[in-house]
Amino acid sequence: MPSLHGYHGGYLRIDVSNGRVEFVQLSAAVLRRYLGGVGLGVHLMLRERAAECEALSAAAPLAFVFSPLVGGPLTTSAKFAVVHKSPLTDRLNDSLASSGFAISGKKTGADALVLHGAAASLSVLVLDGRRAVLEPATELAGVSAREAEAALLKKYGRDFSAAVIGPAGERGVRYATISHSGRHAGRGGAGAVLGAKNIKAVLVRGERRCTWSNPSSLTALAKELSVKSWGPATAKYRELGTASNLLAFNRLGALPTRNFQAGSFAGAVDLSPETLEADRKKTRQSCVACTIGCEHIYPVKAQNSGDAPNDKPNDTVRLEYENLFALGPLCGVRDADSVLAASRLCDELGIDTVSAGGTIAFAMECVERQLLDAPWLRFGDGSAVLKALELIGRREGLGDQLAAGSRRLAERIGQGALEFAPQVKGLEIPGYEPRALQTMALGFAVGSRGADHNRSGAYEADFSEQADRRALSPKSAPLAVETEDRAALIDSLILCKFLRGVFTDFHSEIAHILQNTTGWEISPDELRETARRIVSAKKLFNQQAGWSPSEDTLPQRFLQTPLSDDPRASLSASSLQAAIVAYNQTRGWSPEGWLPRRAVDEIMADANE
Amino acid sequence: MNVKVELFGVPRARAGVSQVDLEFPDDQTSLGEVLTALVRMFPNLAGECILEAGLASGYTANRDGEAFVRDVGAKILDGQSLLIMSADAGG
Repeated sequence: MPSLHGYHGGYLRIDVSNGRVEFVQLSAAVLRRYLGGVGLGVHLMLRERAAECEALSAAAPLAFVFSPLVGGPLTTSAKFAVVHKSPLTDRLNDSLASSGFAISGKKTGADALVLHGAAASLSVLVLDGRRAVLEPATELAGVSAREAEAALLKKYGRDFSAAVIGPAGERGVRYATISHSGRHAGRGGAGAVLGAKNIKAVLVRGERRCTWSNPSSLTALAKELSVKSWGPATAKYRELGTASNLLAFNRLGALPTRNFQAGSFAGAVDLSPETLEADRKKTRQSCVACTIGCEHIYPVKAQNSGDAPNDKPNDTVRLEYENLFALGPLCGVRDADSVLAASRLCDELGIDTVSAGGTIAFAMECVERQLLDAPWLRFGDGSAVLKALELIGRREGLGDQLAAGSRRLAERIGQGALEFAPQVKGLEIPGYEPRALQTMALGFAVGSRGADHNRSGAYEADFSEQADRRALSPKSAPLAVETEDRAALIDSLILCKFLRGVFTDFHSEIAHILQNTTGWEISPDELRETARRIVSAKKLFNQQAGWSPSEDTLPQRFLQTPLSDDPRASLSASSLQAAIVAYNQTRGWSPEGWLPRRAVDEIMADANE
Repeated sequence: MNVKVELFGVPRARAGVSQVDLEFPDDQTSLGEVLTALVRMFPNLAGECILEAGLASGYTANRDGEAFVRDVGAKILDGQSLLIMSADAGG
């Protein structure tokens, strides 16, 4: 194989039942067609026949995927994707995170690590270069990801990086995360998949570095991008963080409240970053190799759920819009200290805040409707949220049902509960009210991993003159496609989406970066085609896993009931269906969403190479 | 005529207020005129949130919580609210 720049040219296939490692070569053509991150991850899942596996079985593969930019000089490029079949949705899942794990993992000498099998007992996978050792980890059972990571780095050395699961991952909570340096590959249950393999943590280090095609030009481009990243396009993230959405969304009636029963919340001001930072000492942090610094860290006061007091009064938590919305307005909670404590508890347990908040809010409405016998679980009660989270983490009592997510809970309850379970394909809906942001509603409905604001940025159209945010039309379909394609590229390179506003000509600038990294003469049009291929590959995975067109929809609540506090925010099943057909046709798929034979053959030829 | 301007996020931080009432002599005005008046009142908005040509690229405006507008010629009527916020709704 001719020398590759930016890549090692293959992945490590690791059987965690015995520690056996195999280096599997990837052709330059495949790397060029899927890039890295999410794109390469879905290719690996197709290659490894993951769609056929039960998500929590030993046979199910889980991939940590790096990218050509990892280890290079570009800001925000220390990222990796975790790709697998989701135990929450039974469809493709790809979650992203930033940390030194990406840099250390790539230095093992591989473009991805694909884990198979299951260890006999709770273990740590120690990957030193391309050599793997399984070490017992029974002493870490039930330990939080943060504490386990600290203990492991102390034991093995700080030249390792760790990806760790918390108690929720060990116990199979279907929306458990994989944590590293306090950040999470959060959505879709990667932590449960690792837990099913009896792997508490993956430790990585190595010394293999990739070359860059044109290091001096790449360094110059990196400096230019860093300077842009300090500019006005990212000021929102630096100054207030993602939580700055809260008051604007509330004003627009787009802030999901009380399990999507309303679009505005009377307590929003109490939870806004403007209020929080007025009487709390906030600090800021950045991910590894990031010049934006979007992390806003707040102190957490001791809280008592009634079951177990929080005995860590000096704790802090990163405050993001999604945990704020999901554990606050969605559950009707306006007490900021409760929301911060709940968010911190999710970190400790290792669970996705959006799915946790969504499932708890759904259960609260079920209690309100007398469909669920848990009188303590009421909207507005922050201590009830904490108690529910603790039960989820232990999978005790009601917590065992909540640990399965809102769709499974609704199916268990029956009596029409599925109509107001806040999920698409089983993934709980993030903090964008679909009736108030209807291009986003389309993005949610067609998303390959379910309701997802990171793989579809269709809200951008709703926040522009291009679309009427409360009147979905087939004309919005190309806008949704465009943002989804752009996300597929960003997630495959991988760069932070918060940079997207700094590019003047996104595809040309990305092509230039990739040329200087890999040496490939890549055109903007080739990148557009690559993005479409990656989105189609995700769809193909889902089709292999049993997808049917009826999955591409929203719960009946959103299609039958206008928002209670904004009657004009109304979305009909027929307008959503017309937009979905337009979306599918824009992609070149059948009106129902099936891939054409030619596309299937092309993608599977890559997978079978 | 009166226009209520509501500021969110960075524009609010720069101006130091969450909202302001502006008066204009005619019975309708434009987005551009409102932005000019805002900069006169809150010079910190200039350069970052509001440029001479209109809103900076990372920002958007919304009339009465309804339609988003960026065209400086967009009409603003008596009694309307104009919301100024980040155009990037990602979280």
